[in-house]
Parts: sequence; C-alpha cells; structure tokens
Amino acid sequence: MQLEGPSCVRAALAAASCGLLGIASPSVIAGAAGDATQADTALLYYAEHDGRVKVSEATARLEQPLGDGETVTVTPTVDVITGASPTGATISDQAQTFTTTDTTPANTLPLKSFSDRRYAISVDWEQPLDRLTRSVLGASASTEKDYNSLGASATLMRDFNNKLTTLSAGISGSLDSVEPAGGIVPQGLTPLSSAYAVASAAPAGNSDYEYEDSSRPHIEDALTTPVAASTTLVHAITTASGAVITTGSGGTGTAIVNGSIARQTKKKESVDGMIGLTQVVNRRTLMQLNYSLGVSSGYLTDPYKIISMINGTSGETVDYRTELRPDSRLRQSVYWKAVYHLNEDIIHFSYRYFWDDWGIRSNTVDLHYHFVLGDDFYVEPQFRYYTQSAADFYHHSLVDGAALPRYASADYRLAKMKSTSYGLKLAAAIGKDSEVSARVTYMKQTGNSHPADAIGVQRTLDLYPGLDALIAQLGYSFTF
Amino acid sequence: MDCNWVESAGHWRGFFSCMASPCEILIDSDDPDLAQSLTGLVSAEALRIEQKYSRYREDSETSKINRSAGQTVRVDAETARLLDYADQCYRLSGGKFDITSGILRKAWRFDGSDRVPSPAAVAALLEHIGWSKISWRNPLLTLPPGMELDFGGIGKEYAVDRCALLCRQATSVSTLINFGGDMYISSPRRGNGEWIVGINDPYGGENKQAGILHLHRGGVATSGDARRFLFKDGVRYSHILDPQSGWPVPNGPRAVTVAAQTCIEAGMLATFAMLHGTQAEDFLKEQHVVHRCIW
Amino acid sequence: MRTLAMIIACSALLLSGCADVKPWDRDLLAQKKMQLVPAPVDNALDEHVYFSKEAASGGQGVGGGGCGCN
Repeated sequence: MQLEGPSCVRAALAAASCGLLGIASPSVIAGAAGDATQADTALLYYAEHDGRVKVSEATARLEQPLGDGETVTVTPTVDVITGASPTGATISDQAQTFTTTDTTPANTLPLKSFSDRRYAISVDWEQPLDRLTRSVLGASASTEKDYNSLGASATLMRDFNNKLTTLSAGISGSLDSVEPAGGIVPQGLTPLSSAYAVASAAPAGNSDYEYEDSSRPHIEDALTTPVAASTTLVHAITTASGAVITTGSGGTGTAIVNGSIARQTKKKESVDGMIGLTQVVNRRTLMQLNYSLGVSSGYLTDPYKIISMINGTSGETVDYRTELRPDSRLRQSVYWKAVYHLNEDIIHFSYRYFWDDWGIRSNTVDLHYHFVLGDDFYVEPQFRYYTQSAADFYHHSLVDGAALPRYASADYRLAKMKSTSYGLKLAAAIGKDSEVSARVTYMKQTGNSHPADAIGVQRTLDLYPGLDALIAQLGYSFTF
Repeated sequence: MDCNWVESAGHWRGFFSCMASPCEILIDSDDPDLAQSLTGLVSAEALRIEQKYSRYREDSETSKINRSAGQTVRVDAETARLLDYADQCYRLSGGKFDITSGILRKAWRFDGSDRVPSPAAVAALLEHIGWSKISWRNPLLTLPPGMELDFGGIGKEYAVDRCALLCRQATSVSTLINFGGDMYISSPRRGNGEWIVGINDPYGGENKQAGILHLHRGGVATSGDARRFLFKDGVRYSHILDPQSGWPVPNGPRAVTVAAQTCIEAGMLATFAMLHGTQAEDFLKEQHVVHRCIW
Repeated sequence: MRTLAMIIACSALLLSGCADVKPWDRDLLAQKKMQLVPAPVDNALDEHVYFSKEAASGGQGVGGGGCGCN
C-alpha cells in the first residue's frame, strides 16, 4: 500500500467517513453529555406605520435537564416600548387639543406617546410523577412603569394508549396591578375635566391609594410651576393660566401639590383553566384539541383611553370622556392544532374559536409550511388570518347629550376587525445543535372605516384607520 | 418486517433482522415507548438502505447500475456520496479496496469446503475488475459492460452510522446500535457508565469471548473470516480478496476489531488491516486506533 | 350547550380517525420539528404581539405573563 505517512490514513478515512454521512465532524452523531442546557435566544423589532408603536424585545429561553426527566426552564424578557397609540378619540376635521402640549391637527388620528420598559421572567418546572404522568409548575412576573403582574400555573399531563394519546389539564392565576402614569386612575365615562379629580387626603384604609413622599410632581403631562396646595387635584389638562381645555368649554383648575402625592393603583385578577387532548392520528399526523375557560375581574379598563362625544346633528367633536369597561370578563376558546408530515416537509395548521361575555367572537387560522432545503436549511412561509366581532360596549364615538351606556370604549382593539399576517422564516443549522434564524412578518389590521351610524361630518372621516406593522426577528439557538 | 423489543438489565433492547445479520439497538432508558420508537426508526432506516443497495433486489440502485450495460447512469445524492467514499478508499488503499471486485464471488464461494477456483477462472474475472476503469463524475456514472458494483463492503457500517444519526436527532439518550458486530455507541450510559462489548473468539464459537471492550462512545467494526473461509491442502483461504490478483490476501489475521469515532471509519480501518495481511497489527498500531487482532 | 356538543364531536372525530400506529411507525413523530410547538420562542413572541393587538388570547395552554400593553 502506498502510504503518505503513518496516521494520514486514519485522518483521511475519518474525514471521508464524515463526508459520506454528510456531517461536519463525528461529534454530530455522538450524544450530548445529557445535561446540556438548551438556549433559544431572539431579538425582535416591531414597528407600526405612521410613527405608532415600536417595540424592541430581547428574550432567551433556557431549558436545563436536571436528570430523571426533570427539567427547569427560565425565560427572561426585556421590552423597550416607544411611540404612540390611539387614545380612542376619533379623527375630526378640526384640530383637537387634549393638553397644553398635546394637540392633534385636523384629519389626524389622535395619539398618545409613551415610552416604557418592561422586564419579565417566567420559570417552569417539569417533572415526571410516574411513567405515564408528568406535571409542570410555573411562575411568572413582569414589571413596567404602570403595570405589574404576578402569575402561577400548574398543568398535569397523562399518557394513554401506548403514549399515542395524552390528556392534559391546567390551571393558572394571575394578579395584576395598574398604576397609571400620572398617578391617578380616572373615573370612567366621565368628562376629562372632572375625571381625574381626586381628594388629596385619601380616606384612611382605602387600599387603592399609596402614599409616596416626593419633592417633584409625578404627573407627566407638561405643567408650569406648581401652586399652593388645594383640596382638589386635577390631572394636567391645564394651561399655564390654569384654564381647563376641552372643546367648547372653559373652567379653572389647579395644579399639583408638592409633598405627599396619592398614587392610585387598581388591581385585576384572572383565573384560567384548560383541558386538552393530544392524539397521534397516524404515522404522519399529530393533533391537539384544547378547551379553555378564563375569568378576569377587577379593573379591566384602560386608564389612558378616551372616547369622543360628538354633536348629534353635525358630527363634530364637542367633548371627550374616559372609557369604562365592565369589571368582569368570562372568556372561552376551543383550539385545534394539526401537524402533518409530507415526504420531507411539514405543515402546521391551527384554528381557534374564541368567545366571551363582552360580545366578542373571534376566529383565528394559522398555517406554517416547513420547507426542508437539504440537511441544514429550511424556509417556512407563515400565514395567519384573524377576525373578531365588536365588543358589546364598543362605540367609535358617543352622541353628546344622549343617554350614556353603562360601559363604553373606543379602543380599536375591541372593534369589529380583521387581521392578516404574512411571514417568512429562514433558518440554517450551524454545527451540532445550533441554529440561526431570521423571520419577517407583515401584519395588517383593517376595520370598518365608514360605519352606518356615522353622523354628519363623520361620514367623510376614516373612523377606523387600521394598523400596518412589520415584525423582524433574529434567533439563535444553541446548547452549552 | 417484524420488530420486537425486550427489557434487559436496565436498558431496552430492540431487535430485528436485516442485511443478513441479527440487528439490535440497546437503549439506556426505562422508557419502553422511546425504545419502541427508536427501534422503529432504526429498523426502517436499515431496511431502506438494504433495499436501496442490495445486490439481490432487482429494484435496488445497485441492480439498476449493474444492469446499465455501459450506459451512463445518473445517481442520487446519497449514492454519489457512497461512490465518492469508495473512490477515496480506493486511493487511500493503493487500489486494494475496490467496490468493483464483487464479481469475484462468481469464482470464490467461501463455504468452508476445499473448492478453490482455477487460476483461469479468476483471471477471466480480473478483466472486469478495477475502479480506475469506470467513469465517475458526480452525478454521472458509467460502468464498462461486464463490470459490477457491490456496496457490501461498506453497506452495514454506513447503515449503523446513518441510524445513529437519526437516533441522535430524536433523543439524547445513550444508545448502542449493533448490526451483526458492526456497532455505534452514541454517548456514555447513565451515571457516566460504559457499554461493555464482548469480542467473539472465532475459534471458540458464538459465545466464547476473546476480549472485552469498555466503550463510552464511538464505532466498532469487525472484519473477519470466522464463518467464511476455504480450507484446502492445509492452507486456509480468508474471504478478503486482493482485487489486483483475484486471490485471498495470504496469512492475514482471522479477525480484526477496530474502535474509531464512527462505525464507517472503524469498518474501513479493519478492512485495510486485513488487506495488509501479515502487517495488519503494525498498520493498526501506526494508526493509533484501539484494536484487537486475532491470528 | 352548543359549544359542549362541538367539543365532544371534535374529540370523537379525533379519536375515531386514528390508525393503529405501530411502534416502528413513530419514526417521523420523533423529530423535533414535528412537535406541536417546534419553536417555543417564536410562538411566545407571536402570542405577545397578538395579545396586545387583539381582543382574543390564549388557547394553547395556561400560564405565561400579563402585560399592560397599549
């Protein structure tokens, strides 16, 4: 035999063997030590059109096997949210002024800017109880300037039928608290001039109020120099001279008090339950069917949203009121998912029907086609179609002077609308157990811009401008 | 295909027959459903490779190539990789590993008898042997009429490593895949334990062990003539044939077992060692591989 | 009542349409990309976006966090 050198044959054969298997090195088929941590990380950028909401998000999901089938998963997330979102006031053919610094030109959707950072973390602990049963216990927490949330969950899963069938049941609860920027939770369905009135000395023992010493005003809208203490705190819809601005009316108001300031918080509780059935249908097909029921109670209103009061004849905006939603909500959904393996490619399809006691009925269809391109690449086009009916108390605006409904909101997310998303994901495997991916999604929401009950000048205005958003995501998964 | 699996001594064992060998997969887990699914995975892949490359099946790739009568054949990606590999092994062995040498079976039948073929019969076949005579340019293969390919020398080890790759994608549990003595171990057993593999003594029959290997991971392959040989006039003819002479490599070891990073690598090192004849042991020592030669 | 009937009908359909899946036929299902949620991070990010922009939420499971998304 012609040999170039002693170990050259072995090295050459080793390389040739890897080539035959189509792998980069023998470690690809060797098993992991068994206690490797699986990390999935992602960066997300979400941007709506026309200077609306922008979110940058970074998240990581770390899954650590603890031996004997026990696993702990930790998911930290950071969001930076900026931009502006609709206040609920409708477009008007006149300029609108909400505060000294907050005005909206004619024929423009009124928006409120904000800037916030959200930190969240969730931990899940999965453990096998016996050969056929396992449980997952979870806890989560999140915090942002005006919202905190704490949650816990428990799920039980049991296999039947040679592990071809799995039944699962889960329950979760969460306690959220809302502390609006500005420190005051407005009265609902109340004109802006009086919605924020609150006693400076709160009744003793009222848990909605928290006191905090400060030498600076907390209220964030622009204000001039604070004046002497008074018995009434009014939200800063004030001019430098102290006049309250609402369209067509005037008044006086006072500014903030230095010293103790009541920061109002409101609580919200939710309990959710789910039962599910997962079934291997045949060699290529897996399905899941879930039924979920959830109850929320407490403060479910959005403290920043308002609703326009319009003149019943001309359709001009004459006033604004804060919105008000019921203090309870019963939600239910049925969710069906199917995964189907073609020759090499895989289809993921799901359908969800959702309904609640706010009058909302929604349908969601989601389709992903996992296109295998060789051993190391895949491309996945994604499509989602969503429809919802309007909440019973959704109104694009209210007629000034007519009887007020018990609840009302002009939040575009409670209106009758349709949303379509088109996405594409590209992924490449790097070495053993690593993957890098990029995903882009375009989401478009549309609703009824010209509802039948539009009055007067409203008929010429777009009462549901809709939403366009672009989402870009970079992902990197690896083990260590 | 009939699959069965039984539990034994802390691990599950799935077994089936394929490639004329008893095949098994040992799974270091208490989970019988994982054992079932891995056994299914492995048996399906082994069957796929056997059906695709078996010389005995009319619908196999090999038969399609061997029937081509001089016509150019377009092969798929997997077959191209096998041909590239065979080509590299041909060159690395100085021409002694040659997948066109399969037609020598027409002269040589290693049934333990004394029927050694005539030199003329062997010489006639030599005209149709020689990898350098074929034209292979990915993806087009042209065999001169009368020549044949035989993937028997790499098929089983390839199947073991392919199955190991599929198992690795499905689970991180430690598995030992063994197709008739060619095997691959994915990772240490629970508690960082080893799989203990016995090497059969070719003289002592099936259950006598000539050596024991303690393995954490990697491939093991055995090349040997324990069951296939001819014996005439006091001379033992092993079934390892030199494709350049058409005759068995003289005085080689009875069996060579090699452990390497993959089963394919181990198998080819064992084959090369056998082709070295008297120098088998020296060759393996130079390659710094774990090995056992039985003379 | 109607929804309960629908759920029972769907479950019955799911179970009745099932082939007898032999153990050696579980090869495809063993792959990670055949899981119900093959990319949990993608799924969580999407759920967060849609929860913030739509009235409906959930369906896949319980747990996860809340947010004051506006």
